[in-house]
Amino acid sequence: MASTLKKIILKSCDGKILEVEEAVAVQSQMIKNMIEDDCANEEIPLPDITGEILSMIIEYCKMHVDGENNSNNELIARDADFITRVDLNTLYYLIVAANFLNVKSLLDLTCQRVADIIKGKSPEEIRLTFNIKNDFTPEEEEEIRKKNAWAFDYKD
Amino acid sequence: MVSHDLIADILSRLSVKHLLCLRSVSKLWRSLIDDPDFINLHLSRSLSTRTNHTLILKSTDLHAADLSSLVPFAKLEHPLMSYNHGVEILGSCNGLLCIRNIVEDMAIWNPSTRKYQVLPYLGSCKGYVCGFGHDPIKDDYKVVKIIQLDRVDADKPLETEVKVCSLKRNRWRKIQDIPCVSSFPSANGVFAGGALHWVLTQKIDLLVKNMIFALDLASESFNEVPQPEYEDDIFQLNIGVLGGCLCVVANHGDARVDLWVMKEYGVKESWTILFSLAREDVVGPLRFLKPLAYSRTGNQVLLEHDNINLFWYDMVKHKSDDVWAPGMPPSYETEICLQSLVSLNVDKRQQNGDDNGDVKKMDDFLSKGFKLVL
Repeated sequence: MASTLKKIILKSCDGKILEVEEAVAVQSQMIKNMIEDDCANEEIPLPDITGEILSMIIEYCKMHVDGENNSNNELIARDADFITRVDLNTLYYLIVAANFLNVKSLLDLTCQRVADIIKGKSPEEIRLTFNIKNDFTPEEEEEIRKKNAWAFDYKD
Repeated sequence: MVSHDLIADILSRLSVKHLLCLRSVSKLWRSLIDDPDFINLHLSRSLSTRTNHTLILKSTDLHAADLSSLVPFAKLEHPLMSYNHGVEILGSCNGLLCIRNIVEDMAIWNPSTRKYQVLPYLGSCKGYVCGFGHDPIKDDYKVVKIIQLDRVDADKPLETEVKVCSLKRNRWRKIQDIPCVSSFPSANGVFAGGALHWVLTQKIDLLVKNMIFALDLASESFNEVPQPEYEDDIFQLNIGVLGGCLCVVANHGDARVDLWVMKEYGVKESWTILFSLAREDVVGPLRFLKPLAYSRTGNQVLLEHDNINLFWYDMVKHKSDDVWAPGMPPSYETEICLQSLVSLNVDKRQQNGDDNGDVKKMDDFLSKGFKLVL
């Protein structure tokens, strides 16, 4: 077994090299699998993840490794502090990266954050927030509204 | 672009009501929300996170509140014509309720989407028990009626007729019967582990031991369920479901009630006592206790006591805490219903514009049959 002090070298798409302790890196199931398959001895290129996003993910993983002995509530508070600092654009890249690296708890945290942003918003507000094109004709949209007219108040 | 799986993951964290609105965001969102895989994802997330649960209190009317807050209780309009007699809830499964009115009309209804399907009329019969659950093999929902047939000779064994109506086939058919009657004439089947359960007896005799029978909804066959190794005699045996597991509520007179949970379905050794309640833990005599649901943390269990009281029992602190909220009727029956998108649209009728969920239309249709009993 490799020692926990072993470093894993990650390379972002914009050429940034980051050295990460193995205990932190294995928070990513993808990297963990690579280590187990003995494919992590050289630097691991991450073609779709920028240095900025990668640093954030490592910060998050480090927080979870260091906080292993903390209470559940403390971790939840730290997670909340981490995720509320992230703007929508960054959140998007974090989700894609957390999904690619398979960091389950971060993927859960980021998806929940987007769901929280959606909560209480009308379809129009959501299209604006996430830049989604309305591809319904006005008639089609009216039809959907009519079908569940009772559900169209956004208090919950 | 975020993959469709990730959008589905995000959307599965939202309420059913909000999702019904969000169908109008875009064609992609509509197709994601209507997808059966998404409906199952939403359902399993609600189950694993213990969210999107509604507590329904049934007096004459139905009153509902989200389990997480239990306030406020609001009147829940059901689709069957019932004048002032209300409806009975015969079972609850994956967000669908099976309901029946006084003239024996039955319907499967999703209160969260307000869609429903009326079952074919079976006629009224004297003594029967019902059950409602999900057949995981055919992914179909089934209503079961165990009808007790009249006996000419009291020495002859009991005779029953068992009928099943599934949501997909929407017609009643006979299946293998069971020579037993329900020990509790009005008790609905308890759905757990893909089967419906009843406490049945082969003889109407208090000295004959009650048995728990399971009707597997896929194979449609009856089996006896092994019971826990009780330490002393039980005064009364009840069954229930908690977090998807079959439970036994073992009432030892007025002294003590043990709540047993079958952690692994069908495995006798997996029966464990979750907790015991003594007489001093509840207000009034210890009679009927019905386990309803775990709290979000899993440390507490919500119980109904004798149709008049609801309380949370804390399994860590061994303390009970009464629930009272504005809008609660003085006495009631209880049911837990998930908030789900589970569809009743089995034959694509809605796609042809023939919506099967218009409450008003149904009232007109049923009022004919209803007048007969006025």
